[in-house]
Amino acid sequence: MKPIISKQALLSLSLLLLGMMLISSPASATGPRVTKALFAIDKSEIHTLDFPPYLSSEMVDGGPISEIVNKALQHAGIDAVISTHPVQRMVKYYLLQENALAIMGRHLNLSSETRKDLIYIPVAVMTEMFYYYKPRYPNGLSWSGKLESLKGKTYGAHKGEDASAYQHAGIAVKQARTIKLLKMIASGEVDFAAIPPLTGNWLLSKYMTADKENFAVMQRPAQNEVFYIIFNRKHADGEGMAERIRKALMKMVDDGSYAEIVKKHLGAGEVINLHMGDLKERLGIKVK
Amino acid sequence: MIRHLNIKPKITILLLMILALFMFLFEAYHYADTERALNTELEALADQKITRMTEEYVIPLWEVDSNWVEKDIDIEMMDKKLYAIVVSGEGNISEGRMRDSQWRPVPVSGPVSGDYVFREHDIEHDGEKIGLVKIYLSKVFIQQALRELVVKAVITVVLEGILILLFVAVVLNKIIIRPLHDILGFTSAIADGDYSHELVMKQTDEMGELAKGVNHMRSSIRQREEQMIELNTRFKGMAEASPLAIYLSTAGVDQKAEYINPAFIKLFGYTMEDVPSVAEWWPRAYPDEAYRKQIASEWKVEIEKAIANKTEIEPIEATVTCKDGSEKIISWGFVSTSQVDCSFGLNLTEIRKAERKLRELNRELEQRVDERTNQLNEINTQLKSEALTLKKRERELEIANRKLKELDQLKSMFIASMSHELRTPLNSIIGFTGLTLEGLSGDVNDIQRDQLQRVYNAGKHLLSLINDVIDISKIEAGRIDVFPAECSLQEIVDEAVGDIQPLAAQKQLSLNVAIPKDSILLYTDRQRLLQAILNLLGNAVKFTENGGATLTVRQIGDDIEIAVSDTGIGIAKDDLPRLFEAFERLESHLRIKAGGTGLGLYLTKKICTSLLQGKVSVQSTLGKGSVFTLQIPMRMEEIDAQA
Amino acid sequence: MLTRIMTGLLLLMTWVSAGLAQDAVLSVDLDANESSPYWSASMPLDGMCGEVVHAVSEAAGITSNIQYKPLKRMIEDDSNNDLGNPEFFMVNQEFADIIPVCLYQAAIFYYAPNHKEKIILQSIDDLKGYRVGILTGTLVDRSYFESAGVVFEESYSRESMFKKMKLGRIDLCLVIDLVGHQIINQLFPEQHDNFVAIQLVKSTAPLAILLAKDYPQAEVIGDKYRQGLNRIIQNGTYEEIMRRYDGGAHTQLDWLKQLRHFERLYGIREAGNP
Repeated sequence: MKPIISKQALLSLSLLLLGMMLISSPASATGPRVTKALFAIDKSEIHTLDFPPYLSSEMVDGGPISEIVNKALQHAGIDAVISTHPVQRMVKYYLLQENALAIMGRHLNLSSETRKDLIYIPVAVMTEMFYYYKPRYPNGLSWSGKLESLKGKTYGAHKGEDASAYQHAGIAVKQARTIKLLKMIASGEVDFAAIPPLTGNWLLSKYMTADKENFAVMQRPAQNEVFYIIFNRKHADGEGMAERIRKALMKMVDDGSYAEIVKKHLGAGEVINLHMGDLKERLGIKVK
Repeated sequence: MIRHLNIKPKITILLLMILALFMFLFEAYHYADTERALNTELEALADQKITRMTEEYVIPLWEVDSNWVEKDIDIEMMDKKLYAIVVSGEGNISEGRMRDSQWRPVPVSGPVSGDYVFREHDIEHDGEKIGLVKIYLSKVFIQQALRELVVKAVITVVLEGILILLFVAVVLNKIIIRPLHDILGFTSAIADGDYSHELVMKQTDEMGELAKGVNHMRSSIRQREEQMIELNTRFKGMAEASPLAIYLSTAGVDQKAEYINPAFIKLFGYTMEDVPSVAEWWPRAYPDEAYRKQIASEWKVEIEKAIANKTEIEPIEATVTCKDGSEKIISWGFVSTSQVDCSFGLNLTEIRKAERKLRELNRELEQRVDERTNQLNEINTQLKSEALTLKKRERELEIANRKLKELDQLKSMFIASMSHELRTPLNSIIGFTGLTLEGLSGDVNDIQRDQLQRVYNAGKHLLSLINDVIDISKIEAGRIDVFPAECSLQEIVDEAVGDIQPLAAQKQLSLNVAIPKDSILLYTDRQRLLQAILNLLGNAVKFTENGGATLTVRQIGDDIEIAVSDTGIGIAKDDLPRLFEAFERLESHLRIKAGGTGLGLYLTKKICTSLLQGKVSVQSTLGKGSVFTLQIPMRMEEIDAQA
Repeated sequence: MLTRIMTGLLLLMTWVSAGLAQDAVLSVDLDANESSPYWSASMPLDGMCGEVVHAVSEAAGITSNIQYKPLKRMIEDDSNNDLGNPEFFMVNQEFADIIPVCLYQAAIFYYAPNHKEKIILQSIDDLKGYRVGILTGTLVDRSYFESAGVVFEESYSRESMFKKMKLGRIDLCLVIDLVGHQIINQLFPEQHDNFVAIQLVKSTAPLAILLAKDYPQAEVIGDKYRQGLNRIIQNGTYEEIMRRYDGGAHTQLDWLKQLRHFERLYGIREAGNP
């Protein structure tokens, strides 16, 4: 189910992002970022792609997903730390090369073979919006809910994203990282891309401030994308930890602490739904 | 010195002085106020800065960051008012800046000196002192500001002074100075006697008013001058024609002769050349020194008296020696004004001669008068003697008159009292006779009736006579009372007519009444008026054989006239004067038939004149009839009831 | 006719020369931000890492021109070649190659005279009770540390941190090790021995040469850089440079292993994955 995001919610999200940008103090490159990981000498690591404002060393407490996962780890009795990385391949490296306990992310296009050794636990179900460039579409760009309505256009897919549906709908696909996708939208290399609005606005504010006002989102949400914590079965007690995390997350959803964390970082109201989606149903599926 | 300047520089100096004083006071106050305000502002700024810096330097000092402290100090020193800042803290932090001679911030090299406002405050972190900040705010800007203020004030004063000078030069000149000059020129022309032009000034302000006033003055002066000329001409004419010797000299010490009239010259022979001044006149006019002193003394006395009493100087007489040596007696009058002294002399020489002659005549006259007076005194004595004799005779006459009156009164009293003595038995006789005639005393036969009737009639006649006599005597004795009251004339007339009507009817005579319809109210003695009217009506009926009588009433002013006219026998002209005398009965064939006492008209007259304050008159023609007229006031005067 | 031939020969020679020049000496413009002692315009050969880059470049036959810019500008510029921790630059830029050339580690410093006993840090719990100085804006897991009872005090500069530490206002400083030592030498040269550093092994991070994706001959240059690095490691130049800067401290960690790890981690072309 693809919920329609109201303009009010978008506005709230934008304002929230602006506030986060103002409040959060980006870490200075001249000093080491003081993270939990610094002191976690023998601790397991959960590697994740830098995904601001949800997961980033530039956010307070690493962002909402970082806090949710840390809480869940705590509840699950798992002593692990989260390490963020700028590119996906680094995350995959840790998983595949160094058998990390777990990774986190979305659009992780892992092979089916690889997936066999992985346990996907949903952490957040995020609504993504199609971003487009207003100067190219002065009358706006929208879609009917069916991708065919965007036929002939070029879709900017995240690296690792399954974009087959777009291709089937006659939409050309180009892949890149999120910030790159935004630059490609501005340059016209792609017409639209699906990005969580907070992330899109955060990146635009930080790296494309002058051009930010030229970006718009289609009214109808693009899709819901699940952010997973993916446990490595190859890691000792990987399965067990996965299940514990699942339960811990489930409990957090049930007792409202999940929503409280989202509220703390992103505010109350519709924004919570935009990030929880059908998480509860997904979390209800036991680890196999 | 200023007093001697013209208006323009006076006003200029005055305005400048006022401006200077005002500006000085104002600027002095402004200076003091500004200084105070600036100092207060500086103090407040110092407080504000130290408070802010106390917070501002907490983090830099806590961070032990000299660069930060230094940068902050440099930023603070951008405020030119700051003279120096010194911040010290733990970790060997000691940063400071102060101003050099060019007012540039330089590192503090020693103790800060100068005129400044100083503040210092501890810097604390969590209650613990970590440093100290000191600031010095220079007062040089205050001094600078005050200097600028002074300069501005001086410039302002100078500019305003220039403005005032311009104002005076231009405006004042236009509205005051030039018009004043015009007026001055005009007044000079007037002073020179040029009245031909009128001063034209368009201004309607005080200058305009002054111009109007000057024009008016010109007209007045011209008019007065003309009047003066006229007066002078008249005076000169008068003086020339005057018989008085007139000597006009200037007032003051010199007393130079200004004018001598022909009379003066004619009288004394002296000309202006002879007596060019009063000083020259005196010795000529009064060559005798002692006499001259005397005259001078008399003048002095008169002058002093006039001054003291604020009156005119009384003339004095002096004997003046003329040019030809003759002497004349002159009465000198003197009038002095601020410009001239006028002496005018009246020649009294002839008058004095005439006076002497008169005095001689007078003496003769007095002698004659004395003689005549003696003669008159003798005559007077004779006349006095004769007067005495006359007085004696008068006294005798008075006594005789008094006796006569007494006698008359006695007579009246006798008659009144005797009448009473007579009336009483008469009433009895009449009364009883009447009763007997009416048969109340029994039957009477014809002879008795006839005899009784005669007695009755005689008695009635005697009673009537006695009544009349009594009335007359009372009236004459002054013993009758008058009882005036409001009464209706109509009623009185009706009653009188009613009483007489039977008698008139018996003789077949008419009895008419002509009385105004309006009711006539009288204030009189009703009874006596009735009596009078009855008498007249009775006489009219008695002395008329054919025709009748008519009573006519007429109002004449405040009087009422009641006239009884008849068509009777009339009265001869010769008999009219004694008609109203007592006991006068005129000879006529009706006398006996009419009867009467002869007192009716006399009594009527007495009643009318003595009691009713009226008069009675008669008109008659023998054989044709008579008209008796009563005229009485409608309202009697309230007098003593005793007539 | 002759003129034409001469002109053509001249042009040919020019082209060949250019080609030869290219082959002979590659010149690469690299941006760095001033962060002594790693990259510093005021230090000989641009500091420790700068010296390594120059040594690598020399060994690789490349001329590396290091220009100093503010870090923010370096991050915003998505088409330049960067020198530094790849994590800062990879978010906003695609790179053709990333060649880690140095390593750095964070350390906890303390001023021994302020503490009676030696401080041992083995876990987060050992930080409890201490006031730890960090640079403003570097604290990420605030809630975690708060709940762990660790008190951080942020400072705007490292110098301030050390001064505060010496004054006893804070107990520990968390800085990059060499930076910390440099500060100590700068501020308290006579008291260097009073400052103790505890290495945080989990903090090891690379400093790399990052070649922009569209930079001409980026891959060639990248290969050359790698070759040059290997050469100076092998010939000992690398270690000599290290020693001069860290006094041999680098030997406490298995630096080569770490370096190789980072090479693999950041090796774009090797991994073949984005």
